[in-house]
Amino acid sequence: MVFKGNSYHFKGANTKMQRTEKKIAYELQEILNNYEIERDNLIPVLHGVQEKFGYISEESVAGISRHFNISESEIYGVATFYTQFRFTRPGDHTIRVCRGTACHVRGSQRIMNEVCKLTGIKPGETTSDYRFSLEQVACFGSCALAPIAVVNEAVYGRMTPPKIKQLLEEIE
Amino acid sequence: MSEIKLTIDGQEVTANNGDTVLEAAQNSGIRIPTICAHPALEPYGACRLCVVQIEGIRGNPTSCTTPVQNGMIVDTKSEDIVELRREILKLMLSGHTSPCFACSDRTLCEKYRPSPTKSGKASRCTFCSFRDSCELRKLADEFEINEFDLPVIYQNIEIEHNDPFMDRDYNLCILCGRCSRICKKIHGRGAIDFINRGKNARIGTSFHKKHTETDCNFCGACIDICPTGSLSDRFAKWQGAPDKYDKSICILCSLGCSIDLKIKNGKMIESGVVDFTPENRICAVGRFAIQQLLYNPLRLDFHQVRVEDGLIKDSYENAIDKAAEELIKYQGDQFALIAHTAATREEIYLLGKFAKTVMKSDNFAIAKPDKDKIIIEPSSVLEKIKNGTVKAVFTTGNYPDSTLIEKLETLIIADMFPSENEKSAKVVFASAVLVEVEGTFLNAKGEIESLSAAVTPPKNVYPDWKIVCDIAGKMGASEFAYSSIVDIGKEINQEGIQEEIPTAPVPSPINDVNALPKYYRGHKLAGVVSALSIFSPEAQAVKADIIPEELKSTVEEKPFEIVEKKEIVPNTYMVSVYAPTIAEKCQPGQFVIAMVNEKSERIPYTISDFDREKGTITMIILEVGRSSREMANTRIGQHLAHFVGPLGKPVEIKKYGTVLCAGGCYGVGAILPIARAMKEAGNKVICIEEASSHYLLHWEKRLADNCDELVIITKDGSAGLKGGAQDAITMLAKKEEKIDQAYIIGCTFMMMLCCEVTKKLEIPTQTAMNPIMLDGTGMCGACRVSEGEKTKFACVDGPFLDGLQIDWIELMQRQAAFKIEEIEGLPQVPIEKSPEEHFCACSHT
Repeated sequence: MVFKGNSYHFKGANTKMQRTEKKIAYELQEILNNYEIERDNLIPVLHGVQEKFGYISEESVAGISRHFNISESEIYGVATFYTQFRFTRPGDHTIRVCRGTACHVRGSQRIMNEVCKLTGIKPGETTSDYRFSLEQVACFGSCALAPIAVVNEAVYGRMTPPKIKQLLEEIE
Repeated sequence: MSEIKLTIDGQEVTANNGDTVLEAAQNSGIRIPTICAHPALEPYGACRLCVVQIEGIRGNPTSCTTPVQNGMIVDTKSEDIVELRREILKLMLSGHTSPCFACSDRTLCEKYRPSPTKSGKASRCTFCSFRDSCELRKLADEFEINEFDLPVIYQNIEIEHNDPFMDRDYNLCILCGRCSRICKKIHGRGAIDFINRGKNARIGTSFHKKHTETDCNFCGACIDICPTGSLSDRFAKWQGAPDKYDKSICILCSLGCSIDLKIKNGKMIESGVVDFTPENRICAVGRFAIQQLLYNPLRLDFHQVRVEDGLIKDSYENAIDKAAEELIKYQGDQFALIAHTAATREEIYLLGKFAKTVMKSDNFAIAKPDKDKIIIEPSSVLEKIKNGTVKAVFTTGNYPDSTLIEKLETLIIADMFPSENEKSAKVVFASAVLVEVEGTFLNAKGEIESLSAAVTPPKNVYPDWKIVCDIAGKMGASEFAYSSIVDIGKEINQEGIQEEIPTAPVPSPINDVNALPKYYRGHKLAGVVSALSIFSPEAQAVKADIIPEELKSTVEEKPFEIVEKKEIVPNTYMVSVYAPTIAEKCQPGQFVIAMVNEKSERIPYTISDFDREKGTITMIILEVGRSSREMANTRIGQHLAHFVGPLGKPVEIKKYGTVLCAGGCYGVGAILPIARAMKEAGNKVICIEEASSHYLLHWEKRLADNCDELVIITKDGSAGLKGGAQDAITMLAKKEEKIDQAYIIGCTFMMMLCCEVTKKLEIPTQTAMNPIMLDGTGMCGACRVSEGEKTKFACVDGPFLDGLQIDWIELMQRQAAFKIEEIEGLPQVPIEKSPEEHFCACSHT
């Protein structure tokens, strides 16, 4: 992890998330095989796919469409109805910044701005090397520790811009 | 099926068990307004417009989804219900880009603008191609909705015109789901569906893919069933509402699908399915290509005969004489006739009979398209041409190929498009084709279907069968004098001819866009119907790179660079061009003439701003036709082929006292330099900005910075005052504002209304004339405008003329002189969106 000045630089391609197309197709088929070809299974399959790949890709939708003989648009329509499905590949590390009331009062906008500045992305986006995803969250229920940032599964309280910078620098 | 008795609006009604309340009402002649309900679709209950009251049932159930029950007492017309429906309609209209409903000038506007303006985006009803057929509009009128108490929302969804044949503007969509439901019903797997949720819900495709990348077969059913202007046929959309419907057959392949024709003034506008069932679905060619063949700019609509070494236009009679004179020399085995399969039985029979009895030859061949090539059978005919036995050929298409043509002494062509073979032809007849021809067609199922001549062919253009009959008559054959097509049919039946049943195409074009018919009369369909090239295999490889020809600049030198370009409000673009010599000299009130590429029209644009230091000219452009669309599709960094100016007389800048500058649409930008100069000259400047709705307002700050008072007025009252610019002038007069001079720039209608007011108030008024203009230097006279008794040229005497003396009606008539040609000239090629230029409503400057 290298920071140069205030901007974040790529550090080689990340191999962990680089699955070959064939492997993805195989893994998708494995998920699909667990389900009978019934419309009712569409949402469980979508969950399964997201759990495995972290998101619902165009290829996954095409595969599900072939399996269930339901059009891609219909599957996409169902999936986009629910907020828990995502359609872009997440980064290896997910940074969630709370923008709820308590955090807002304690200056979470500055935390968000700092993360945006460091990673060069906006909430809902992923860096082009798939290292970081940034999400804006309404409340984590840890208001006493406001402002909150959650990196992967770890909750960090009483955040300041220097602290979040240091935190990101420490991620390897 | 048991009968059910119920009461609707006090009327005893019987219905079948399983009917809905809506069906029961409709079957008894009781009308309940609907939008999402359609006879071809299952009940859905999305629009809520068909709500009723039923005794004993809580709330207001939708009649389309409520099954009838014995003893039901239904009220469909109570005051509460009507009020509820009105509210539902208002909610739909709120997000449907329809400020025109709340406009007090609507009646006048529609009187003076009988057809909608052919814009790039429907920013309001009068800029919407579906204005005259819109179901929502009809209902809104029925419910007399003419004011909004809800916000007017422009959803700002990017227009999709990157697919062949169809334009999609989901800003007009009311989410009735008729399109996605019919798609699923007809094709099993729908190409489109509801995506997203809540206020972001819309119709779309998986990952917003283009339709060419989905299951879409381009059958057009979604367009035909859409109650609004959201989905439209790019070729047909501006032709207006049809005045006649007829049925016919598409004979472009052996399937012979039934089609419904929409006709206006004898011209075919659109074809469509006869009913919305999977069995009767049609392919992209049957849906979209026929009309583009008939009204193609390349189409032959005159006959030609050879004089010395050139072909010249001649009358039909002379062409017949000449053909007969030629053919009589080649009777017997020296003659061959090549017909094509996409013809009526009568035509094929008569062409065969002509070859046999008049020309006394057995050389009769038929050209059949087979996948990517054309096969001419029997091949012995081609052999005879090759070995020189056959010296004369009559052909109804672009065959045989040119190597064989060279061997011939005489070639007579009857065709609808020009071809290379014409170079060797003695006579070229223009043929009436397809739905212009009456007759019968033998389809791949062995059924005989009939075609009526539903559409009028061009003047003095006749079908092939009449051409051969007339030639035969000229050659002295009496048995070709048929009084009607029916007689020919009878003769075929009497002769007991064994007709070969054509084979059905595999795969079928109705299931596979890659199997669409590729040829007609030996001409590549994709060569004449440009959008079809997307489906040909060669085009597949370069699919990602479809840039319309007009975007490719052919100029080598690269002056006139576009340095800034932005869609500032829907359908309105700001374009800044680097042109230092023009920027140095131009004065307020002048205009430029621009050509995007070498083949563009010369179009005048008012200068909306100029920067002498940077050397730039800024224009505000409204997309209302072919040339402004070219301008709207330019990219930053592109170079215009030509840019001429400054043209016209500048406005006289001096101290008048109080100067009024009123602008609407593109005129908002155009009043800016005048206002600025007038203020600098020491005048009190009042600006009026008029727009249909709040989302069309632009440059308010720029104007405000350059005048003493800015009055914003919108037709729907969604921002500023409610009304038109003329109302703002009246209001200023009431405030006892003494105006010494007025400048008004906007559409002709807006300038006319303003001048009516300034005339009464006796304010000297200058208006910027916008007639059709060609050279801009006073040579051609196309831009003449009547100012009182005098005829003025807008280009050199104007653009500003005395608005109080202009003959507005004449001006409007002259502007509409090429209405049909302008519509037919609109490009049909899909346009790829440029992601970097996605319009943003917050970009007010």
